[in-house]
Amino acid sequence: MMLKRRRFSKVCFFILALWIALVMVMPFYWALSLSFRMPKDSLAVTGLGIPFLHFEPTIENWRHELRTSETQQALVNSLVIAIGTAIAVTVLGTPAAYALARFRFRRPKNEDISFWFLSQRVLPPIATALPFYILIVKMGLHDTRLALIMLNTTFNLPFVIVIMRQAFLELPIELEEAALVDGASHLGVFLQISLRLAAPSLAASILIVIAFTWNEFLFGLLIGDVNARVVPVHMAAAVGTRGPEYWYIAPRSLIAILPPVVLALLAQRYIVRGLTLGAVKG
Amino acid sequence: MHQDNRIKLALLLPAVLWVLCFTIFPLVYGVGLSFFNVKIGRPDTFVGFENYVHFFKDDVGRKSALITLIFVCVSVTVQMIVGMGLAVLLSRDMPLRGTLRTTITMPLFATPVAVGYLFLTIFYEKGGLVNGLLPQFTASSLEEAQQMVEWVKSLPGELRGTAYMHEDGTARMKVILPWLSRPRWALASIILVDIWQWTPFCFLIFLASLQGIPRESYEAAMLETKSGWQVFRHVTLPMMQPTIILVLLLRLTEAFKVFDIPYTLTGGGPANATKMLSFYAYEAWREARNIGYTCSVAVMLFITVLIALMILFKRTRQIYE
Repeated sequence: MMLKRRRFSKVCFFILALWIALVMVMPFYWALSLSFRMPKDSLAVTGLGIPFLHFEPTIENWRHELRTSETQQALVNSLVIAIGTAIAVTVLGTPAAYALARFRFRRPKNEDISFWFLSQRVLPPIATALPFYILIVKMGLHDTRLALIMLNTTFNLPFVIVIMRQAFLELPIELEEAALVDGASHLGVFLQISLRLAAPSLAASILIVIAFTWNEFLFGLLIGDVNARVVPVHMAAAVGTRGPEYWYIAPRSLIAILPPVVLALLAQRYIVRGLTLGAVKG
Repeated sequence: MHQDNRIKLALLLPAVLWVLCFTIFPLVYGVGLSFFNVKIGRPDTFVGFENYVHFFKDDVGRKSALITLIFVCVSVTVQMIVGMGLAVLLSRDMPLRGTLRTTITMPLFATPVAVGYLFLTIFYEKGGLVNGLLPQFTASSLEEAQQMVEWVKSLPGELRGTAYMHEDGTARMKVILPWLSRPRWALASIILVDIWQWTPFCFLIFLASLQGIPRESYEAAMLETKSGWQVFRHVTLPMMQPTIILVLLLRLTEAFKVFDIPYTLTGGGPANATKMLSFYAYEAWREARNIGYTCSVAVMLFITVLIALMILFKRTRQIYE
């Protein structure tokens, strides 16, 4: 009796979990289904919209979307900005993280400096948006990829510093000390030993930075008008000028959504640490 | 710790200078601008607290503050509770556990702008996903179906319905939920999308934290009681308290920033019902190029987040050290 009841509740819990997972993926499925519908079918098909059963699928939307030069331009811009940000963040952030993990600062103390970096993430972007905009215009960088790389670097820098500091703290210090005794310089030890050992954490935080940068919208909207138009801004602009063409929204959303979701899955092991800025280990 | 060395400054300073230049300076500059009336092409005039006063005099501004608060409270609460429930559920032994966990995590990193437009099609009133899945009611005649529509309209909740003849000659009635066209529904829709996107965040972190609780802490409690709830209440929750505060803090600060979803899904409407503070501030700039006013709203938003942070500040620092 007891066993039977336990088994019954087990099945119930499984069904509940399955049902919730289905609700979570439903919008993705819907986008996929919508992206293969002809304009006349797009919102005329009710129910689950299963291809072949409820409508005749077509790849025309995808073809049209991928062939549009604006979409291609936006994809290139987003990619360049994401990679540029990843590089800038690594160059600026990892040395600082290493310094905070391996050297003692007295005034202010290491923990204070780390927390200062961390606290930058609290700032609502809108609070720095217009001053930043004015600054960028005065520097003659309006509508350039460089401006957006600088911005995204600013947002992601605290994140990388905090994660990498944790990563360096977890490395055994003995290896580094041995190398120092052998006459290696601090810079050499950092570049050739610590950075290599912390490579998995670095890779994961870079993936997350790329995903964050890819998703950034507000500053892209303010600063990347035409030449530096990124994917989210391109989406908004297309809806703004041509109205919500539901049949194109679907492939466009998926083009935007897939890269960050896939990157996040690749970095899955590190995501929890990343999202809590190092406070909870995944 | 390595020997004290000058190189530590060379390693740290670039990042510090970067943050000073691109975060602290714009912030201070923004606070400064909030006291001015800034018009492009004309010299700025100092207006003191006028921008701030104007916000509290503006009906849209006050409403914006109120709905931002409602949005933050409701969506963060629901996300934390559902996220915790999911974490407990998926820490049980069950088939496909890994796949289920991954699936539930997927919305988290989806581009918010794309999510907003995607839900525009999902909430589309005639033939979108949710309304399309609502049941249809069969009536004996078209008139009866129309009467059913009238009845639906008389219900609370601003529902509508359509009556139509089906291909097979029967009359049908279908309920239409006004997801985006009625103020309260639109706010609820935005909250729903936010819950869909961010519950995975709470789930992931709670799950990691649950797995970090040593087995022994449960064993003792299991001897005392058989009730799963009692164990959860007196063992799990206290052990997870630091994580819960941390998640609350991270979610609060993120939720106050909400911008992309109102921008894409509702454009702040209908009747300003979803104009969250970030969006309200942005619009003051877009529509009137009122830089000083935008900055003043942004500064108030920042101060609000800071106050929330201060309340939880001490606990947070302990967690990070």
